[in-house]
Amino acid sequence: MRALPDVWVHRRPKGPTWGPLDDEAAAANGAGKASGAAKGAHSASARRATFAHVLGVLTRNEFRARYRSQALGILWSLLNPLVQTAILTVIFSHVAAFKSAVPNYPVYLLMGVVVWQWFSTAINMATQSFIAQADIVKRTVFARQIVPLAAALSYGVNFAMESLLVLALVFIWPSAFKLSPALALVPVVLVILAALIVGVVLATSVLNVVYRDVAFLVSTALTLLYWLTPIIYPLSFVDDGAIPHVYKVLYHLNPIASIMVALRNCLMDGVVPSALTWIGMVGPTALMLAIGWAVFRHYERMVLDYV
Amino acid sequence: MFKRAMQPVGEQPPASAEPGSGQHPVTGELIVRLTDVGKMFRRFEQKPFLSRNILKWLTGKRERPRDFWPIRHVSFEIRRGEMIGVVGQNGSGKSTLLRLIAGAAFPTEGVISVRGRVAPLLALGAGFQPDMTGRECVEINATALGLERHEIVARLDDIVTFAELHDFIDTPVRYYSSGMLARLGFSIAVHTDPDLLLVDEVLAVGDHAFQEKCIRRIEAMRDDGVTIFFVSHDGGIVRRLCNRALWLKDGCLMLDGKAADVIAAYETGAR
Repeated sequence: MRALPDVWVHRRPKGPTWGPLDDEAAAANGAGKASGAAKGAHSASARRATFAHVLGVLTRNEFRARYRSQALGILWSLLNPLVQTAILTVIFSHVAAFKSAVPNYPVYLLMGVVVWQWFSTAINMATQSFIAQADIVKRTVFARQIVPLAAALSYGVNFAMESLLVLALVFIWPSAFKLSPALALVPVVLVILAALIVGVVLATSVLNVVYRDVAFLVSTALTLLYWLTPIIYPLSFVDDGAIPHVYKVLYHLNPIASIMVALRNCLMDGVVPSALTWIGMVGPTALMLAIGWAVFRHYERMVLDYV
Repeated sequence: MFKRAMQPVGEQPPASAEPGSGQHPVTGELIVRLTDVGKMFRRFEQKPFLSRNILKWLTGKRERPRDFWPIRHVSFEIRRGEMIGVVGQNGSGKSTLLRLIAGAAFPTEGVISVRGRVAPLLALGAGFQPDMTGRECVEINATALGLERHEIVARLDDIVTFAELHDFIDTPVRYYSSGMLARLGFSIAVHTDPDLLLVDEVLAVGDHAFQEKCIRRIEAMRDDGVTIFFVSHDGGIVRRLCNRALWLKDGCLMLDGKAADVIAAYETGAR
């Protein structure tokens, strides 16, 4: 028989704690009191490794399950944005104002659509992830934040494939992409994008369990946000438009708008994003992460009872 | 129900005060301890919607949810190597107790302390998805049950062999019969190498031969020193397998003692 670990999980109304039993029990049980802290630290690193493993398996599984039953499999994930962009390109390329304002408008548009696709699908689907995975959430025990994270990350796989598609456009519109040191900032921007998605879904996923209509609210808010983000129209329409300066600043504080701007700056313009763009990305994202984590921690244990 | 909840153990002396004393010779280390544990659920008339709540809040007609304690003021300890059966009628709080020990729910009152690896057989095959193959389902389910990657790889053959599913392991579980699903789910759960196995009525699934196989497996695990906490309506199985039994009634621990004594009391008292 292997030895039992000295570390106990104490499940209390306010959440779990890890450590030895109280002194009296530890003495009665013959367990060392001094070793508690060290063992606790070891167990925290073990929990991190487990977290990564479970996150990996669930993300892969989400992605696989989504396309398993379809004949074309993951090709569908490419088809949807392709068709969407084709339609948008055909329609909006005829808008002279767009074409003249942005060189290589189709690339501009596709880039916007692909980024938005990840942002909106990940948030919509991860918001409903606890309901969709009710079975596994109720009956097994692992860090619950993995469930919305895995849903959001699994759409990141789609995003990665679609991004390759965008990069392939370099063969059609070579002049649309600028080779510059600013390219090195692309991964940084993508990490911020991922953090933003995580911040949002941490909050919305648990809220949707307790209040089932949050998913509708989220999807409506995303529709609104779609038009507050420079996906179809050029950013210059906002920046050079006849609107008060305050609104322009507010517009840039929409993190997803700033992320779009930054990505196009790095990829298409070959320039480092402006300070306002950085503030617009990092500030709201950090705030959203903090709020998301706080909301998640508050509702986390209720999820188990409500789902 | 509520009134009884305030007097936890009734006329019986509180069994938790004397774990392992006299009645059943248990010497193992402590593995689980429940201290005055209670769980409250709120019952709403309708599914809560944010919009409805805001409306009610604005109109001042807030619905008072009714509190419901499926289990309250329960204290006991489990020592290593024990095989404990939990009996009680429907709604007596057995499954809630199991979910609390498993960590699939948090207590509203009290503390539940657990150590070692717990395998909760709360329902078989959590995370199985129809289009995934048996092999993929093993990976998901075993991961959710806390197995590391190398452990899953090492045990896959044993899991498949026990489930008798060699020819079907790469078939989507959509095409599995319910018996095959149950076999696979049970097989994964018992191969997680737990220190503590929690079993919730899962033996009610599958045919008789499979049930026998499950029971024999649980006996083998017991003999290997695995601590087993076992919920059942069936006093017979508890009497056959367990050395200690708990009788839950309306969320309270009525009796804690030798399996034969508790079952006898339950069977007369329950009628």
